[in-house]
Amino acid sequence: MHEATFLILTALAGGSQHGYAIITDVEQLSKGRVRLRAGTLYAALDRLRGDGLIEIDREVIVASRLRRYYKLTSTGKQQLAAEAARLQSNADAATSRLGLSGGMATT
Amino acid sequence: MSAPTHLERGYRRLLAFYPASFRREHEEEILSVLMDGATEGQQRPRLAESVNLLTHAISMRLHQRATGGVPMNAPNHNSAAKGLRGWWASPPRPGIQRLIIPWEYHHLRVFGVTRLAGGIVATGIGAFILSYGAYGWAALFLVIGALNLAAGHWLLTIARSASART
Repeated sequence: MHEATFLILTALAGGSQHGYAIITDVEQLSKGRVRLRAGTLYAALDRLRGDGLIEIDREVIVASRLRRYYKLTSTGKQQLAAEAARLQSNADAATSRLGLSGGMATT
Repeated sequence: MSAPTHLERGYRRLLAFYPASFRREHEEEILSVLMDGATEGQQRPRLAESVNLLTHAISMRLHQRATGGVPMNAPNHNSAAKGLRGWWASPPRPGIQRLIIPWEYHHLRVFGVTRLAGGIVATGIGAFILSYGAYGWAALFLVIGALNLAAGHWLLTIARSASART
């Protein structure tokens, strides 16, 4: 799973959001590192919807502009949880190895 | 609804490069996102944004072509338009292989990669000019870019079909 995909799913894990809110949320979640562009976001959303990880929650017209809200499906929640567990276990392994060798590896 | 601004028309011109099925579904909401992200007084799409949109539009078209016109997700009901759309990127018939000597396939691969690279450069230049509003020149470079990308796609498809056969 790409980092951008992971962050998009994480943004939606807190509740349904529309496109621009996802972009700003992903930027906050990644502490400013990942700034999604519209083309990238919609390529990802289109793919995630095709894979059944997200679905359209509702559509709202604000100031004559269409806002479509997306939310996680149950499959999406499962996959995000699995990916989070995988990253967590990798991170734990790295931390513990670095800890055992007393900081930076010397060998 | 208020009259579309100069910026909005610029964005719509870029979104026109996306496959029709994708535009039907997403054009309005992407436009909302782009307009939400625009800064006060912004007159035309930013360069990085334009390149990003064009790259995704072209890759989506190539993907649809590679999968026989099927969009990246939803089923496509408009099968008549599907046949016409993307004909420019259709791989040549298999029979063409008989005209090519086996060792030539390596050259085809090199040519194909070169064409793709040239296509990407020309498309990039086109997008750059587009962001400055010189639409005639931008169209020229984008057409050259598209032709190169299509040619590269063809050449690589023939090269791949050869390695699949041997």
